[in-house]
Amino acid sequence: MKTPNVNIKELEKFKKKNFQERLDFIDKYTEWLKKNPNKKWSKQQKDFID
Amino acid sequence: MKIEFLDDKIEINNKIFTNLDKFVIDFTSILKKEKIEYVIVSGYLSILFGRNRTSEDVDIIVSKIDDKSFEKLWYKIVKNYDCVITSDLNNAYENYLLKDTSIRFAKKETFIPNMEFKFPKFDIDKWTLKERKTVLINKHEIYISPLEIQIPYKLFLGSEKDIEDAKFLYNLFKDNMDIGIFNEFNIKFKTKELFNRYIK
Repeated sequence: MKTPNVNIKELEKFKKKNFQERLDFIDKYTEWLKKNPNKKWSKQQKDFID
Repeated sequence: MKIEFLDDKIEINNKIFTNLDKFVIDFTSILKKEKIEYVIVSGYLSILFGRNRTSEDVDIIVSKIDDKSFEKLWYKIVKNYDCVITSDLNNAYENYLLKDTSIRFAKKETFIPNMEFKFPKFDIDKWTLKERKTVLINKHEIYISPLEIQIPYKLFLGSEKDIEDAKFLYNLFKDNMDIGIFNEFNIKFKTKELFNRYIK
């Protein structure tokens, strides 16, 4: 089975980009938290963690 | 733990589903119905096989489809999910997916967990999609990354959590992997030293 090429430089660049996307997502998520009542976001959290 | 390896399939039965398992099965069933190829990668794989941690998202690589096919898929997905990045289908396709940026789908009225949805970008993504492994969880079929690339990739990512995931998966699957391919990826990702230090 032939394995693909791995371009480490490109992957490192992607890691940084992906990290930034994840930081941007946290911005969106915290905006959503602030806009929604405690009952709503905490139910989501309970369903998720339990 | 009982995991069966039959032909090219990994079968795990009598698993009590977590909410995350149900989330993955529900979402991927839409892709299956629409005959869209996908592969689940990254953190969920260790959780699927018993690692006790949560994840706010599940990473999924979906085969690159044209705008018409994406539109059809989008309307199937948004019946029960919201795209929490953008509500505009054309924006999602043109300015995110085609620009190698992922979008995220969560069940309506929620944010977490969400499916981080992207097209393949690198050769390794395309290979992972092509060589994906079938997992039957209580007879539900999903597709995951081959462990031979997943484990070295986790080492490459390099956080403590990623190394722990890599160790966890290696311990479970070392006797059922193609070690030649695995070693090749450790060389390609330059993770041999990390592997020897933390996992072997």
